[in-house]
Amino acid sequence: MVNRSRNYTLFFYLCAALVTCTLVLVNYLAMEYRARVDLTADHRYTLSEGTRKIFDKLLDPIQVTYYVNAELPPARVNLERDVVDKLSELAGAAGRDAAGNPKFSYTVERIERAQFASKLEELKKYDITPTTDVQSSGGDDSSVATDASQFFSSVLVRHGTGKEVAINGIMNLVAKEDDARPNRVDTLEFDIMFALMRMRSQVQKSGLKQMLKSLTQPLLVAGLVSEQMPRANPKLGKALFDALDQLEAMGIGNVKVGKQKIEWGKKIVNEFGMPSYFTPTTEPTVDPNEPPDPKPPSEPPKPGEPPRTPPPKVKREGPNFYYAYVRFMLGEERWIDIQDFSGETTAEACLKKIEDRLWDMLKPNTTLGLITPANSMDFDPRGGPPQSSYAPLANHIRVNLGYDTRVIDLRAREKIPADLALLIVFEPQSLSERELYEVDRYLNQGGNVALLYQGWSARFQVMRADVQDIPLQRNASSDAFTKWAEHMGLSFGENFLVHRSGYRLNTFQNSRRGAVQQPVEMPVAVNVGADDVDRTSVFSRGLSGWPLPFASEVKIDDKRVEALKLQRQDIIRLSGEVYNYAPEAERFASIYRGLGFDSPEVAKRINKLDHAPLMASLLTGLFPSYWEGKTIPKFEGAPDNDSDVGGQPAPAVKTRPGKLVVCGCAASLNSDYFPTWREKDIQPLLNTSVSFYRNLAEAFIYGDELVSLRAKTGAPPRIAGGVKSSDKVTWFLLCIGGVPLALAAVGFLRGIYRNKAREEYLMSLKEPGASHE
Amino acid sequence: MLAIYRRELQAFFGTLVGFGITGAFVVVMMLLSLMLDPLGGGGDWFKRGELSMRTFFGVFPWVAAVVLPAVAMRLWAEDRRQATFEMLMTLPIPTWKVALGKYGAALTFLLFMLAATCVYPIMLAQWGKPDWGPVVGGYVACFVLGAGFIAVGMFVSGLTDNQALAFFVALLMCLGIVGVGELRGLLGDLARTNPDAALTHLVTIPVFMLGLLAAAVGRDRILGAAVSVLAVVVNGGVYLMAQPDPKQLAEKAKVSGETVIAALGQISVLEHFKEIGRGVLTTNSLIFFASYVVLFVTLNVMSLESRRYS
Repeated sequence: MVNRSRNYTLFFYLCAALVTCTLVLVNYLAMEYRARVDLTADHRYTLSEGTRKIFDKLLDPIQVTYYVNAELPPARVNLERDVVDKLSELAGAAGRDAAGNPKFSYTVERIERAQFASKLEELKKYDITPTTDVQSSGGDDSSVATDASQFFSSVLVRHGTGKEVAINGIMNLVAKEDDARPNRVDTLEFDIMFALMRMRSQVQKSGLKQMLKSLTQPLLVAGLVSEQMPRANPKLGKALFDALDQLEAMGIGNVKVGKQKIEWGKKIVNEFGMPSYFTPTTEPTVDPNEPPDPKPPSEPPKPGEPPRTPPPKVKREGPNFYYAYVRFMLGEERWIDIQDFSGETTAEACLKKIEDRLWDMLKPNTTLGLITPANSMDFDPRGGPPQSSYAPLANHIRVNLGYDTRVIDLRAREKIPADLALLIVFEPQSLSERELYEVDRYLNQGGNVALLYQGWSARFQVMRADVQDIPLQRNASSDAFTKWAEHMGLSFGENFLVHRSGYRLNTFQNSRRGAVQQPVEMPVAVNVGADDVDRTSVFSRGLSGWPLPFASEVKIDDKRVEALKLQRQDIIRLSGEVYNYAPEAERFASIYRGLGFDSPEVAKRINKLDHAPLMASLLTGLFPSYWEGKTIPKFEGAPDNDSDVGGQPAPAVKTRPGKLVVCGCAASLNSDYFPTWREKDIQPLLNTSVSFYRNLAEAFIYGDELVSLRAKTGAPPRIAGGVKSSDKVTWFLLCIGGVPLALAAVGFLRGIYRNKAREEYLMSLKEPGASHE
Repeated sequence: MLAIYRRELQAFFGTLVGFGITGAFVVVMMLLSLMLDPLGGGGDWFKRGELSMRTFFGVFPWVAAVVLPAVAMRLWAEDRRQATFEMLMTLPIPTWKVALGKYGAALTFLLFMLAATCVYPIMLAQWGKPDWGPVVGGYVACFVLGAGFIAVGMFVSGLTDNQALAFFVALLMCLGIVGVGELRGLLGDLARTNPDAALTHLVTIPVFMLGLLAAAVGRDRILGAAVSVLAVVVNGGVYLMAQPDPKQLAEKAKVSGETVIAALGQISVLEHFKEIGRGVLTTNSLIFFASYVVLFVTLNVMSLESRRYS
């Protein structure tokens, strides 16, 4: 007899196994051949077109190593997976070369807790450093740091013969604070591709002889060596001087070496007897010279006695410091010092160190040109030469970005160098017609120019306690600039813009204890917010939070731009609530120091804009010369018989595609607004301020290849402006209570309807003669 | 099949229960995502200021693992209780059509539940310009995950006539499905110290769960319990007896850790849910969820068919 139940059970298990196997197979195939659709607005989870183009043209493979701690903090448990996902996406998109080798390969190196210290030392040579992650609990207002952990999450990119580039502190977006991190999983594509570009553009280091041969002016070398030398390396002084001799011989007249030996135990002091800039190295020292032979024993040994050995030579102990110092100077602006030769024991080793450091000074570097307004020259309170209010910015660009900066004095008839990455013109409205002509020519010939307009300014000098108004000053535009800007389709707002939550500057007030900082209640600088920039553009990286004091709206005439066949790309457009601050009477224009945004006096002067004002925009294309068919303007105050060109017809110029960035504010790091500020106070402003120049310079240097890469993305859009408590409560009630109430009402009505229908049906049953089918 | 679908839909919306479940679901979801944010460290939505539904989609799998078994528990068990099950089984239509009719009605109810949360996206639009891609992706993820949970619930409901038991077992299974990916950290850590035990756990934990399921609702409960006990014994034995050679531990741990993490990553529902939820629709994630549905609906149909022969 057939047991149908048992047979079916067997059939059930077989079918279940078959279905499971089929589904496993289908899933495996789906993983191998998968298709995807990225629904996000900026396609943030899809590789950008720029990345694909770079991969297509790639000749040498890219090798990436991801260093990560094996044990990550609980909040970062998915960090490794997220990074690996991104790397595998890149590897998949890169494909293989003609020989079948992958163009992009990656390895993951997990670092165990026990290896942490040794790895830290080992990876230092690649500039790989661990990152610190602070875990916090509680809401935004009551956020409390609960733990801090240090771990590795760094990527090392290798490509061709270029020096490896490390990307440190890569984080996934777990908390709100992670949006502000410079290196994140969602920006990894950009960071790796940009690292690749930098590696490709690295200039190959030339040999020392070649370096010295190519010098355009003599290299001055000063060597300082003390008589005493470190115990561990007593021959250092001689080795260093020998190296300098060899350097002079190699330079064939291009190198002038001066050597100075500092007497035993002496320290270099300046003319006031204070320690000099040349600081010695602290280390136990000895006399490097051979000690004199010890005196032979006074009496010969007696017969039968063993021969007397002379006492051993003992080196003379020196003080606890020594000098082994070299300074290289090229002209007045470029110089470097080498102080640490402690690891070099031979002349060859010293020469190698000198070669490396000289390369840092002599290698071709990005140069930004600066044109500063004539009226901003100020005297250095420390007795230095007069300098522009924008001089600190130039210094910050040099120090923080590693670019060279060059102030171009057009008034002194200096020419604009052709090799600038970017020419920054501060307050262009103050340029004379002739200066403007030079800038226009530079732009026509394919130059990259940034015009930073500053319509208003204020002097935050030390004020008397009873003075409440900070005087404002309108920076008038010259006719020449107004006409030139019109020609380009540009104009600027009359007043300056303010945000309710904008940046507040400090002023100084005299008191018995000296000048004390007093905050100005009125926010005089608009802050660039995350929503004010296109997050996917390379031009807007790191601009969130950038304060723009006394900024004016930039207006671009689209019809004119179209007529000139220029392309326009907006960089910053202020969203949210933006107000115009209209000084009441320009003659006595001022800002009340003690009055806030909502005070009646201030309210009279501000009006809310009905549109999102443009703050910065980029125009690209062939810029036609404004002076075409006109005469070349003369320098201001130049006599008629001046030999310099002027008054002649402007020569025709062969135009090349140029780039013009227009910004409604120049004073982001103007020293007028930071008198006596300490460096640590300026530091928070620094990164965003120099980011603007870095973005422009990098975009112009690397061109479309970089611009077509998607930049920093990932941060979700945020609520703009403040939220009133009443709005908050209304929405919470609507969300939490509204829908259930509506559902209850629908359910209740439906119940009534059903009851009614039921009653009608029952009534119909009671009616005589009703059919009940 | 359409008649079955209509009948089931009527059962969901004919009484206040359907509306009550939806209302409770909306209240819990909104409280968790707008005010409490248990996964993001606390703070209300306005303070966080993010124009996204990240928290909503973050808590959905856990809430759905509780709510959807309650929706699905009555699909078959109710018919058994009301003695309409035999009538359904004797209808001149195949069992799979009956099952699909019921499943389709449950999916429609799921859609209704999700639609009831539409006030959240309306609020997003009120306060700025959100990126709608992740919102759409999130809702798609919620639907496919919910579809999987309902399939699981319907399968369990078909095994028993006790609704409470069906709910409890389906709840455990759904929580297990959501939590399997979270075992990665746990088993990954174990793989570093005791690689053999980690690999054994990877195999025996599902066996233990299946045994438990069989013991709860299967026909041969003793066998199910025996399988579970055996799995526990094997697990414990390997854990206690496996003494890895310190010299080989590092290599072994690496291989075993990677295997465990990769395997759990592939079968983790949360991983696929997050992938779709961030706004990226991938065929493999959609097929993964479809597989859950196909597997449990098929098992459901076959288990019902088996009753014809018992």
